[in-house]
Amino acid sequence: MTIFWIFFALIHLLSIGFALFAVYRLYGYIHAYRMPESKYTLLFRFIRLRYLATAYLILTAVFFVWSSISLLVT
Amino acid sequence: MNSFFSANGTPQHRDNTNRHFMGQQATEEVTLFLRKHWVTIFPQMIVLLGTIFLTPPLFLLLRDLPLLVFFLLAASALVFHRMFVHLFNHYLRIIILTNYRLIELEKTLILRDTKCVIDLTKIQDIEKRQTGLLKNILNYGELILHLSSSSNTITFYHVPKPDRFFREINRVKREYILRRQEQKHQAVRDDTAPSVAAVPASEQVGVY
Repeated sequence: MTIFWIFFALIHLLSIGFALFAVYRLYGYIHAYRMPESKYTLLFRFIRLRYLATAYLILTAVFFVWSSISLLVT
Repeated sequence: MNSFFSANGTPQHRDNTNRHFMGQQATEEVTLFLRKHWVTIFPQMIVLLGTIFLTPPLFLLLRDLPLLVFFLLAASALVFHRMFVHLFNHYLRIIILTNYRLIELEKTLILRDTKCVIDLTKIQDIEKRQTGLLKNILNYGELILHLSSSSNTITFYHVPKPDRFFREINRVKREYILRRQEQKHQAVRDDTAPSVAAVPASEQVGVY
């Protein structure tokens, strides 16, 4: 079970690390390209890149918390 | 969008240097920009939603089998990040049309950062292709640019509302050519050689 927990921690460390790295790269892009967005350019006319990045960070955190709780309960 | 010329036909002197993107010229205006049609990321969105909604029940179902739970965890994390990166890449790949040039940014989050700049005067012909049921229902298609400098063509795939982009390129190109001709005629009238030097340095493009 100990090895399992080590792998579990490793997966989540990699997951959170990658998410932070991805958002850091996105921030660089948003800073460099300040395009005049409109309903014609946004995904489904309303999804901004910032919304997507926020959802990504929140879902990564939820994934970590939820899987930890599930494993602890079982 | 802002026009390059004011109502009385005189150029506006607003400094747009690096305003919307790095390398934007002082008198360069972004006419429009676009991303690919959402149909290109539709499969990734389905997979992402499937991962988000199917992983928790599977996790609970397999909780007595630690090895399978571990593999499920690793696989779902991998798919989750991969699909989000696909969605981010959709936002990073853009085509910018300005009053001087067309800029294509083929950028991805990590692996690719390619830029292609085409001067509007180098575009000989533009072709719009929208064949097939899906393309006509969802209103997307291909734009093929035939360049005058060589026999090469540049194709933009999955362009949303291709009619709009087609019309805008034609309009901006016509305005740009007329403006250059006017500047050359002005140079001739002023007894100056009609060369590239007649174009103000601030309006010369080519350096990204």
